[in-house]
Amino acid sequence: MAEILRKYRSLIVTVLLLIFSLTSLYSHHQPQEERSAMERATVWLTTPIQKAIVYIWAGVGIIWDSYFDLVDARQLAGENGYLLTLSNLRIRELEAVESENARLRRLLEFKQRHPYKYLPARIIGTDILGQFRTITINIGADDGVPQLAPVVNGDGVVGRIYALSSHSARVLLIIDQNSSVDGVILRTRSRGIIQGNASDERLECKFAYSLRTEDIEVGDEIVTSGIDRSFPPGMPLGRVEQVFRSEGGIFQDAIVHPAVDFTRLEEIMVLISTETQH
Amino acid sequence: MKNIGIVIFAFVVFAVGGSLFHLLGFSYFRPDLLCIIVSYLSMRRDWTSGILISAICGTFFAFHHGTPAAFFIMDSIFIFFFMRLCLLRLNLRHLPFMAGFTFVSAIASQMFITLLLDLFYRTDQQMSPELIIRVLFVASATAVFAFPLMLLMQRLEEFLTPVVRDNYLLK
Repeated sequence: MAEILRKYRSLIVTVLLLIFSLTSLYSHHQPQEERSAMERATVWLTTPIQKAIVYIWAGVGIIWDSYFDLVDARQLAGENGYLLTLSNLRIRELEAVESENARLRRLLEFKQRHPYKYLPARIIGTDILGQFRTITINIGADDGVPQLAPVVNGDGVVGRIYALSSHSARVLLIIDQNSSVDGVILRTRSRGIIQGNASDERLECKFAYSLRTEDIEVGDEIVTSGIDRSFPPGMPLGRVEQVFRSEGGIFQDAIVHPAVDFTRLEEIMVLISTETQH
Repeated sequence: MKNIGIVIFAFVVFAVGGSLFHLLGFSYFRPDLLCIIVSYLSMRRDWTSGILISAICGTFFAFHHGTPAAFFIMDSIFIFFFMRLCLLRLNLRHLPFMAGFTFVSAIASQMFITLLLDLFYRTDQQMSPELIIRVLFVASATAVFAFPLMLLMQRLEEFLTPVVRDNYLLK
């Protein structure tokens, strides 16, 4: 008997399970509130797992949504940053245009005060070594620039042409130590020579060879005298900053602050003829 | 120990699957988890223990679904027999083949359940295109999820199997 049971064990188990299933199906249809203890236990054990999954899912959903919100916010911030950069660039452009307008207006006023023939020019280079105070401009002999022609901007005298090529020219600034321009004190008409006296620290000139007896005061305006025939008379050179009167000599010196701001030199004009234009 | 492990695993899988596939919003693409577990058991257990564990799993599955346990006990016995015969005939002992073959067993299981429902509850379910589509979706999902689940069960069994080491010093 035991051997038969062992031999047909699987068949017996299967048949018993099927009989149990079929009997349970036919015998009762339990109402919902009369669930078996086994079923209640299953539900009781399952509920925490399913609740945990729902909570985890909700948490993941929140993180996921937050992530996309963050991505959107970052994208928006990026776009805003881009627009802000564009706006800033536009503002800079407008400021540059405004500044250029102001400089051109000053050039125009200068031209009205000194109605000669000019050629407009732009600076295309400066002295790389820094030993000489020179600049390179974008016009040359082919454009009608003569050798030693005066160069000015809206504020006053910049320098003069000293090296000329066909399409560019080098300008020796009045602050270079090799430069000298004949000038007069506008208030007293006292004469002297404006010499370049620039150092690394200061971009200035020196008013030299003025007699000790001449009346020079701090703040006096110095303009070109026109006697050297290089520059027409009356063009601003600078203002006296300091006066030195030595004990023995016959001359006095003065430190002159140039009329032109050489650190912000952009649009300039080359004076090609002193014939007046109206 | 391995059997208890598999039953607990099935219990957790049914609980997790019941919530997860609902949350994922898959309407048809839901694997027949009972089919996967019974298919695995069909090749990894002998007849008696395999049928018994399958029946227990079927009971849990029924409790999870709130349906009479008898349906899924019969269903699990049917899947066990079906898979056992098919896999032995086709000699599909490797896990990937077994997992792939759950596509067929899932179709068979769905048809069997439909037949049982029709038989006992007179649902008069017609062989409509919707039914075929639903069955195919379930079978596809079963085949997709079968391999990872079977692999997990295999790892669990390996973990629960005590390792016997030879003591070479005594030889």
